Amino acid sequence: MTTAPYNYSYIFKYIIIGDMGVGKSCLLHQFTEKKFMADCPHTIGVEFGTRIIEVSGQKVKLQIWDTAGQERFRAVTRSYYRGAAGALMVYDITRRSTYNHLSSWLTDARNLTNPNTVIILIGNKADLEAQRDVTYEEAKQFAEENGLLFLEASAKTGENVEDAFLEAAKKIYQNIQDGSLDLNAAESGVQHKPTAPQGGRLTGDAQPQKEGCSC
Amino acid sequence: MEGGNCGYSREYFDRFVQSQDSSVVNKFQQKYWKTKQTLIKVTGKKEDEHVVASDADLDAKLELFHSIQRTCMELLKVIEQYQRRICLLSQEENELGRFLRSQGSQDKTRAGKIMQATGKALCFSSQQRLALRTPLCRLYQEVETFRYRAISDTWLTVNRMEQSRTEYRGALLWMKDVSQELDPDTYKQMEKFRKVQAQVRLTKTSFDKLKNDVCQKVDLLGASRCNLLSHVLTTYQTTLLHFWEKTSHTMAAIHESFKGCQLYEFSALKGFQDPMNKASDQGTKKKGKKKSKAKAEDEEASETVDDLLISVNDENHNEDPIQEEDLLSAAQDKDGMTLLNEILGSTSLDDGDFSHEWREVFGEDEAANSAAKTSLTEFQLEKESSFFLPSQLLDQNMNSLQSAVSGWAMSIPQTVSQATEPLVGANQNTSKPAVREITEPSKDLSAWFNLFADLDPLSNPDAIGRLDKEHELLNA
Repeated sequence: MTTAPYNYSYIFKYIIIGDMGVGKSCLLHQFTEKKFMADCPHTIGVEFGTRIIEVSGQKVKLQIWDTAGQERFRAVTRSYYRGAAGALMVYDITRRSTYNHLSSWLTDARNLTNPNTVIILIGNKADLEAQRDVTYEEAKQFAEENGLLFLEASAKTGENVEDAFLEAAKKIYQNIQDGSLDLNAAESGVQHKPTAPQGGRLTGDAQPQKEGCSC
Repeated sequence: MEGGNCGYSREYFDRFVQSQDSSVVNKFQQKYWKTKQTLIKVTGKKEDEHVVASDADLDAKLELFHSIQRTCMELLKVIEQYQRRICLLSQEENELGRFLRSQGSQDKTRAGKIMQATGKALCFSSQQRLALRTPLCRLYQEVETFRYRAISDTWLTVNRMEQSRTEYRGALLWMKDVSQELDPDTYKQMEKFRKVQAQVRLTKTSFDKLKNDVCQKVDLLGASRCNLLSHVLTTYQTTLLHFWEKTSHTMAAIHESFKGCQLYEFSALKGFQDPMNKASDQGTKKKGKKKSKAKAEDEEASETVDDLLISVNDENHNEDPIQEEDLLSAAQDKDGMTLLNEILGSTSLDDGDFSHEWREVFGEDEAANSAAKTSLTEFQLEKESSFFLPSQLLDQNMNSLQSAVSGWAMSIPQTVSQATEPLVGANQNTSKPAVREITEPSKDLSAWFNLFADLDPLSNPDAIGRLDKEHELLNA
């Protein structure tokens, strides 16, 4: 691939999880394309999206895994949690059941990611205020009880979408600065790429030398 | 296309690629995973719970389908057995009829005539019974056709769906495998993943479609079976009713024609009391006399009537025109009466349509008919005699054994008897015709009528004595 100098220092792996139909793919699409995709087909397995953002002066590439919410894919998507630096747990504020299932999603997330993974709770479809089924307060309380960041967003209007991703990124970066997130640890979900032309040694597990062709 | 400022994921391009790489390798892989899934299914290994759970409604429909299959099979077997038994029963009935006739023709007494008549009636009934086979045959054929067409068609669809489901689940296994090591930044891996993803998408679409088909078909299957059964069973029910109607008419006719024929020593009048109480009463009160029919026929005409009057009013058989019985016959009769009660009771307790039809068919003679029918069909001659008991008293002076065959006089004892108690509710006017009918023999039965008038608040006292007119009326 390209040997152009990297213009980002880190790669953060995000996963988006939640019940079927809450708007995960739309959130991703809104974030990466700044467009609202009205007829989104069901995600099969997982889809990907990337975007480069800036955190504290550092350019960070976000590698976002948009997982399938359908129950039959649960076993498949469980493989994707591994090595995630950040997780966006999404529910639909107009459907109570999606909120009620959060505990099981949270359990999965906690079990399958590392303890330092930043989890942020997103209440999507905030534009449908009239059909609201979950109050801001109770979700906020749930988030606080479980140590999660919380935001209500709307993939349709774009409200809080960027913030969601950014907030998580900030928190992750903070953890790196604190030292609580060890870049050398396996499956930290963060890849540190020093801006050297030759693709620095990659920490974190998995694929070495995948970036670019090694010429 | 990585990097730059556009923030564009290069994997995005092939996100919705629909075409599938049909290389040999790919096909081989697909086969491999499908086989793996088949193995899992066949060996009964525990499948992923989420995958299974997502098919819960489909599995419920499949349960339903299998149950329909099974019950149709059982229904066919039952019908076959039933038919066979009808044949056997009819045969036996016929034999009995013929036997009675032959024996009866040799016997010169009144008993002989009764035997002959009954024999004929039995032969007739056995023939009529065979008529039941036609609707049963029809039912059998319909259900069989249903099995061969509808069920097997659905079965084919179910099989196709299962195939598709295996493929789909195999693809899911494959995807799970590929997902273990997945990095969107690695082209080769992504290519692999996209391949699998396309396969999953394809099999999912076909599976979803077949799943819908199966669900719809099973629903239709259930509904059409209900329809089928309700149509054919109506025919059967009607035929059954006709059979009963015919045979009971015949039997009752015989019953009528032989009323007052005192062939046996009988020992129980069940007519005026609850069989249960009666049995105990009778048991405890052993009066002395066993009265033979012959004797009764001659003397004691009035005195027996009076006695009867008294005893009935008392509900205690102090006098005893009516025999006191030995416990044995009491027990027998009690059983008979209880059985009769049950049968008649159940008849009137049938669901609304049926009893309505019943009443239409039998009208106000329901009690008489059913009583006569059941009494005759269940108990045959011997029991007939016990019903003759009151008539014995009735007919002390009755010398005409050639009374009209269709007189319903004999229905009286039955109406009065406990046997018809359950029917009284269903058919309030039962006793009325009975009372009206009583008379055709003679006037010295007026005491008897009064007796009945007392007993039956619904009877029309003015009707007493208006014999012939009513008599004619009720002779269909």
